[in-house]
Amino acid sequence: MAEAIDLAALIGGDKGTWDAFVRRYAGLILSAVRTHARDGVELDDLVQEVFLRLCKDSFRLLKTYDPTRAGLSTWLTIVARSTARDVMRRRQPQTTPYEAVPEAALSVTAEPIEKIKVPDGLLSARQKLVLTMLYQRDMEVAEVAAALKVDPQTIRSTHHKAMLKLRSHFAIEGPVKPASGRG
Amino acid sequence: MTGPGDDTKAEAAALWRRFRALEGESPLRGKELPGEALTLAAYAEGRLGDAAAERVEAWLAANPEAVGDLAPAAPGEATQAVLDRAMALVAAPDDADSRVVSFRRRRGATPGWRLFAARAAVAASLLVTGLAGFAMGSNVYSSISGDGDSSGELFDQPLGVFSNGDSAI
Repeated sequence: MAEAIDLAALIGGDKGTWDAFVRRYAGLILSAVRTHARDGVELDDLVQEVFLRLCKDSFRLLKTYDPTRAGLSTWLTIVARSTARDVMRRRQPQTTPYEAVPEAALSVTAEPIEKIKVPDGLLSARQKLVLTMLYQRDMEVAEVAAALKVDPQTIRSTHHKAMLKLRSHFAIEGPVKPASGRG
Repeated sequence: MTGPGDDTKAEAAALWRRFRALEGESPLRGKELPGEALTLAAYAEGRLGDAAAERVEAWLAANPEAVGDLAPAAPGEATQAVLDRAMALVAAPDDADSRVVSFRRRRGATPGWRLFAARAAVAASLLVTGLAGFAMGSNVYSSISGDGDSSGELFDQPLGVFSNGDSAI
């Protein structure tokens, strides 16, 4: 039977409430950080790091939780993954994936021949997010839909509209054209 | 074997890469999301309004590594060792080993006269040291300059090295 957690007692440092909190949510936190760990020992360490982050500085992080804004399980899942990411980043040297570097930064030419401008707002935030998830995170449509809690058809529609805008924009600007008498 | 769908997907991926290359890095890249985990959790549960959701989506597009945080975690089971280790982070109130004993506070403030006496003593010692040093220095200077001034009563006149030719040995 799930134990109800008294948040006020928890952030007040009550030992019994803390133990109940650990028993109830350790499994969730372990599941959330599993993909970040390379082995079982590292996984246990990550779980401990999450609990440490929750209780340190007199439960400072736990005190920021507001039950009227989101469920505790959802909030804990996000905190756990964010903590795991921070821990693993500290343990690994800072590198930038090759594909994350804009092509202009990799160019060996001193100056691009022509700079095609991308107008602000060409794509909406939602369209950029969907394209990011599909093509940078390599997610399937069903995964994106599940993450954003929408219907897969909505994702396809968003993707289609974004592509129409991009094709329209680049078709108008086009590649570098020779000097013409236009205009 | 590639089909029309694969070509379309490859074309779409190329268009997206071209767009990203021209747009450059978002100013939101590496920045913290206002409200952090709570805002993201509210977004994951569909509790945000349109404007707030748009801000989160712009932030997620700039920080795609956080996209994975949105997916719900499958239920898991932690070992007793993991539970014990986490529970130990908060000590029981009657745990003597963890009790912090503060230093006993000194009763009452230091009387004013004691403070004055202490400071006066320090000033006096500095004055005496300064006067003694000045006297010694004057004595050495007199000896070197050959004034024959024996005002430096504190010490005997040095012989030999600092005496001039007129001085009797």
